[in-house]
Amino acid sequence: MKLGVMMRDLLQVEDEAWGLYAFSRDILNRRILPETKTEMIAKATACGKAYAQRIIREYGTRDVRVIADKLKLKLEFQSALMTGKRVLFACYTPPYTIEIMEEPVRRAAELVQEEEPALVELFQQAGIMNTILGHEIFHFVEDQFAHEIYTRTEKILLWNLLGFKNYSTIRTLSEVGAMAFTQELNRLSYAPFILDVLLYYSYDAASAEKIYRDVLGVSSGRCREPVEDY
Amino acid sequence: MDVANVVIGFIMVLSFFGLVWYCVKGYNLMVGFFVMSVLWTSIALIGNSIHPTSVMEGKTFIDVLTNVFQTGPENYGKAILVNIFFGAFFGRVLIDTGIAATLIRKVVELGGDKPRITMSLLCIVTAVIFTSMTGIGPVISIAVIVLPIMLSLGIPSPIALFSFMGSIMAGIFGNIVNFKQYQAIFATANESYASYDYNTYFKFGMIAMAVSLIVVLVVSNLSMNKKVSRAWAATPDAGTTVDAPAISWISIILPVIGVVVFKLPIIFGFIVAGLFALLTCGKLKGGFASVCRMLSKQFADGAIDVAPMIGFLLTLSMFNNAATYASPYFKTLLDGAMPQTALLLCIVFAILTPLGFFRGPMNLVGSGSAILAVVVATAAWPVQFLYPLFAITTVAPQHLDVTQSWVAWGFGYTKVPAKEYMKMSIPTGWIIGIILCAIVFFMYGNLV
Repeated sequence: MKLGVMMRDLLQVEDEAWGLYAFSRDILNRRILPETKTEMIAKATACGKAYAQRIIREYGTRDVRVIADKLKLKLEFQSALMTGKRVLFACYTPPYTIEIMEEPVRRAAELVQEEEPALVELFQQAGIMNTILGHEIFHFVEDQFAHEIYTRTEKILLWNLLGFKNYSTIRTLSEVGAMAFTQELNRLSYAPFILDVLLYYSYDAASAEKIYRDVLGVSSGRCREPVEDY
Repeated sequence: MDVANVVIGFIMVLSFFGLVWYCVKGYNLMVGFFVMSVLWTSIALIGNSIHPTSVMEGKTFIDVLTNVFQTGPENYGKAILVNIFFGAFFGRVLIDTGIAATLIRKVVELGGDKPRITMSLLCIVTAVIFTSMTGIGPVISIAVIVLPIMLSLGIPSPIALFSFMGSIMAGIFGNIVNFKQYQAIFATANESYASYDYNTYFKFGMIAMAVSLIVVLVVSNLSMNKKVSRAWAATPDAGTTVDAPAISWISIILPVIGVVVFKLPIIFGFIVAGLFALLTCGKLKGGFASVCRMLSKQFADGAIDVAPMIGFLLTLSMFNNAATYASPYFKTLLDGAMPQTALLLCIVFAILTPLGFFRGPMNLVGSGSAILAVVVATAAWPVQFLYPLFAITTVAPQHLDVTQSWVAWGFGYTKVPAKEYMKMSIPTGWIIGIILCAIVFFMYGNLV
């Protein structure tokens, strides 16, 4: 399938569907009821946007590079890292390191230019880089406000044995929040989750198409995950 | 001390270092061990013509060749290849039925988004799984489930790879197929050692498994940052596989239970456990012909999983037998230096555990069979004492080692530099060696 067709379809996908797609990759996916997921996605999205506004107010800018500088974040650029079928785009390592993989970004920008010039405006190399940086800055912000930020305070009960309970945070909520944060910061007209398909495409078009179909499946409500009876 | 024997001993030591270099360079082990078998047999034959040795007494040139290149592989095949094939079949069943994957998903859901806890649970279940499973195929099948989970939890890839490989190593301490493999080497070195069985070893095997798992987890946790990283990554795998029923999960440990509790022969144990897994997972449906096809395919897939290992094991068995002819020359060099008491032998093994890495002289599936022949020749060590010592210096270093096929695969999969991995694996192997050698002394030292 052509990249342009996929991107145009994905640009129509709503935040909730992207959130459900992110949940489908979460280790705790089957432990959360669908209606709870929807509620969590809405809250995590609102949380990401609210913290973006807070950061813009505090630092007086939307420029992610300036913000990263003011937060004393150390930016490192690597080539690429593919573990099996998992392609890494960026990584935040506490306390101050953000690594961004340049190769997938460069390849994606080149691909858009070659195959779908109409979308170049939306997916320029610098723009993608800023989107990714904004996403990783959110994880730093989360660490600073870990005790109060929704994406870290929302927990689910995994098990209860004789009164001894194990609660867990949900990693997907951090990702949903980070996407909303960078979308707000960079004034993007699309959900940054779309980069999962775009950046993956240059490495493995067939697998990128699988992600695309998963997203559309979730979006149309076809893929309902089994939820554990607990 | 005969000068000719000393010279031959030195040549053998040099060739041995050549083998270590060869292993480290990552060349083909099957060919390497065959060349070594030819070399040591030739040198031993030349040495015998200069100064006859007791190990070749009454043997013709053809007898020696037959022993190394015919009897060696034949005996090895009889003793272990069948177990390996059935073990691999059972491993394939656990993968195909989704039992192994289900267990992994379940423990991940118990641990949740807590990297240290979830990593520990994953390591425990991996170790348990590998008390029965064997071969690079099952390792890869489990690795492609476990490693992405660890990475998605923010565990750095060197630590994820190390903890996973370390937990396999822990499981191998209790693995019945590996036991049979090393026991066959012991039986070659001394026929009276053939009576040593898994049940006698079991208690130590379980202790060794627990100790090595704890050491691996401690090293992994100490190597990890206080706060784990957050990654933006994409994967096409949604992980929506259906769970295997809870009753089927017990299949993982059925072969070991069968052997230890019911004294079943291991091949029968693998067959029963495999059929139980298939039955409880509803895979024995669709008619007789279809079930036969499936069983046949699983056996064939299992055989493919272990196929690369078989050629190597067969040439290793040639090398084992060649090593018995080399032992008089090593004895000449080491005469007087070999420990004679249980305590000293345990101390020497503890200190020399790192020599089990790179298929070194303490490693039975490396060049350690020559040392075994020497140790056996120096004193009448009880097998209950000697086997665990060699198991330690073989299992711990070998299954953490860069020459292990699945570790080498892991480097390619995770892109972890070997150096970073070895910073954790070598000290871990050594620590495990020291602790377990001390345990062997306290458990079995009184038998000496």
